Amino acid sequence: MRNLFIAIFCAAVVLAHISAVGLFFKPERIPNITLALVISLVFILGFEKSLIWIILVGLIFDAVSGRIFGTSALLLALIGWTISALSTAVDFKSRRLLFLPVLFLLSAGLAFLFDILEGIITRVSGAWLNFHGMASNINYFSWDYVLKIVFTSLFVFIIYYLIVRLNKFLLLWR
Amino acid sequence: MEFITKKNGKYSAVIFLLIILIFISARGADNSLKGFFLRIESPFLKTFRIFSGGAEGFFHFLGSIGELKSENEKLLKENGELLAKNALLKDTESENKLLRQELGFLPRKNYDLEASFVIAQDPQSLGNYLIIDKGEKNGLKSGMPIIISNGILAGKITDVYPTSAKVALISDKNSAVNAEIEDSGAKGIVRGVYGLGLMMDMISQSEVVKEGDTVITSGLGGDMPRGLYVGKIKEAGQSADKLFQQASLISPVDFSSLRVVFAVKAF
Repeated sequence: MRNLFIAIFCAAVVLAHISAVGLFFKPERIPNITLALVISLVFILGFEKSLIWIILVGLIFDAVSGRIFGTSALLLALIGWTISALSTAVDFKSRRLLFLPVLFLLSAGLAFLFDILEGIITRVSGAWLNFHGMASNINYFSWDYVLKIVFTSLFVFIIYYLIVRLNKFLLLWR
Repeated sequence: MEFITKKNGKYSAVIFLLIILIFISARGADNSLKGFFLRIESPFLKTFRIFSGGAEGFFHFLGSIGELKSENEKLLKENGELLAKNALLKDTESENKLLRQELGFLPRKNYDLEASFVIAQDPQSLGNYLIIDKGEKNGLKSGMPIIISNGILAGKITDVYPTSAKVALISDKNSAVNAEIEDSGAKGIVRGVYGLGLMMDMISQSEVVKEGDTVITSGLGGDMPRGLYVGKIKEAGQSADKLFQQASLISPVDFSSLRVVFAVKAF
């Protein structure tokens, strides 16, 4: 039952991202709340337990993305793995006061990494697989992009909090 | 720390499978896989979009209360101007009818339109495309123009799935539409500028391009009807190689908040 709730939550977040979030933000400032969800999931459940959800959200996202089907699932899985590797090297959670700023900075860095990797995959798929999706020319040195990264990081806090609450509720309920 | 562990081996296998999925998609399965997922997602996306549209409208209303008075005055002024223009157009219409009768032309057909809800939009990059809730089953085909109710061009269908379709907006960097300046008849190509705006390019040096001129589709190439409104010229200048003129355009459409669009099935 816990898994069902998590699946519904994940699907709701991604569907909200691709259908509704764009109505509230300028196109170039739309926060990547799917990535925020993945970061939160990996921090709370760990990479191994959240891998299936990461792939699920990636595939849901891929259905409307301008990239080849499977690209976002791959990127999100790589991001999750990066967090997992970092968590093994550095213990973020034990230092409670430092956790929030570290989470914010880490989320910002990962959001940037996601966009860089996406750009690379788009170019690779264009050159090697002859797949030309929609143009994606992000201006990394614009105020809009900075805001996008900040919004994404803020959404990590919101989703992280929601998953923690959901997790507690489901544990009690069980 | 040792990298080659059982867990990392498992993760590598998953990554490998996803890479295989990408290869399979790129070799022709992309459309059908996306279509399958969109068929499941479509009703949920529509519901999310409609509810969020209401919430967005409410927030927008709260934020715009202060501006309502000046907006109202502006609209009243515009209304007066439009009434005058309307009277002139009615006169032109009857004149047009008469001339068509005289010349033996058939009356211009109305477009065969398919109304569609916007259910999703480009979640990543720069708002380059939309997903609509009508697809192959409704007779939509790749390349069909997408307009907004009053004949304003919004984009073109690029991918068609059984119950949905992807629309590349005219603001997409890869889009190119044959256009013409209504007053002077100067021809050119309207392109998107990184999803942020529109640019009319390839205008001959011999043409006069003025700020405020209306740009419409020219219908050249036959893929789009003639006369669809594209935008107004904001600023004109020279192209980088000085061979042509180019002009930036202002579109009346806020592409990020579109809810209903129309696919032109026949024109």
